Amino acid sequence: MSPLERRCRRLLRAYPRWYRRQRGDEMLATLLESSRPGQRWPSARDARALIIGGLRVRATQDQRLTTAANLRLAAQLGVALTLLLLIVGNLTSAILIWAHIYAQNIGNGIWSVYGLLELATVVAAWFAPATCRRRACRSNCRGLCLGLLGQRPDPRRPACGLAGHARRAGVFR
Amino acid sequence: MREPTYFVLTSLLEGPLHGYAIIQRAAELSDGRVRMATGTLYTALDRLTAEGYVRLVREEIVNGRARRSYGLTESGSAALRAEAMRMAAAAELVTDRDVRSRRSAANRKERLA
Repeated sequence: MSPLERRCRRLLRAYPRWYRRQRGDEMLATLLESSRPGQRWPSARDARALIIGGLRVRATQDQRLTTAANLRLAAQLGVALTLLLLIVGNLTSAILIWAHIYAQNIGNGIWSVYGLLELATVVAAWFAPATCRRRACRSNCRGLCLGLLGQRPDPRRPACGLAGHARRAGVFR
Repeated sequence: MREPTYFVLTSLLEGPLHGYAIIQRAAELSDGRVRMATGTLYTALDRLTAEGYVRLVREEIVNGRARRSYGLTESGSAALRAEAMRMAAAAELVTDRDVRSRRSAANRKERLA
C-alpha cells in the first residue's frame, strides 16, 4: 500500500462504516486515479471535501432533506446539549453550595430555586421550537445521535418533527 | 441547479461514466471551471441518485477494486434539458437586447446619412 493510499484510507474514515463498505473502495480508486504520479499526500482540496462529505453523511438523517434542513436539526440538538451541559454544571454547583449553606444552618434554598428555574428554561428551549411534539423531538435527537455515531439512517423510521415540517414545507432537493 | 450539478449531468449525456471520468469530463466541458474533488463528486452522486436523476448502470472490477458507472435516467435528462432551456431563455434577455440595440443604432446611422 502506497503512502498516498494509506493517507486516503485514513481520510475516508470521516465517513461512517456502512457508507465506506458501499463506497469506500470506489472513492479510493477515484482518489488514486486523480492523483499525480509520485504524489504522497492527498491534496488539501480532496482532504477538505472528504471530511466535509463524511460529516455530511453522518449528519444526514434524511437524504430527502436539504443539507440546510439537516443542519437545522443538528443545530437544534447542539443548542439543547449545550444548555443541558450548562444546567448540569450549574445544578451541581448549586447543590454543593446549598448543601454547604444547609450544613451551616442558613438553608433558605435560594440556590436550588435558581437551579430549578434554569432547568425550566432548558426544557422550554428544547420543546418550544416548531417541533412541539415530544415524540418528534426524541426522534430527531435519536436519529442525529445515531447518525453521528455512524449508523445508517433507517428509511422505515422516517424523521418527523423538524424534518417532517421541512418535508411538508417542500424543502426537498 | 448549481453549476457542478449541471456539468455532472451534462457529462453523462453521451453515456454512462465512472467517477474519475465524470470529474474529467465535467472539467473539460466547463473549460476547467468545474474541478470537483472526489468527496464533492460522491456527495453529488448520492444526492442525484436519491433524486432519481442518476442511476448505477454497471459495476465491474478493475485492478481489484469496484468500478461503478453512472448514467442519466429519463427524469435526469428531462431536468437537465429544462435547466438548459431556462438558461437559454435567461441568456436571450441579454443577447437579444444587444442585437436590438445594434440594429437600432444601424438604423439611426442610415437615417443620418
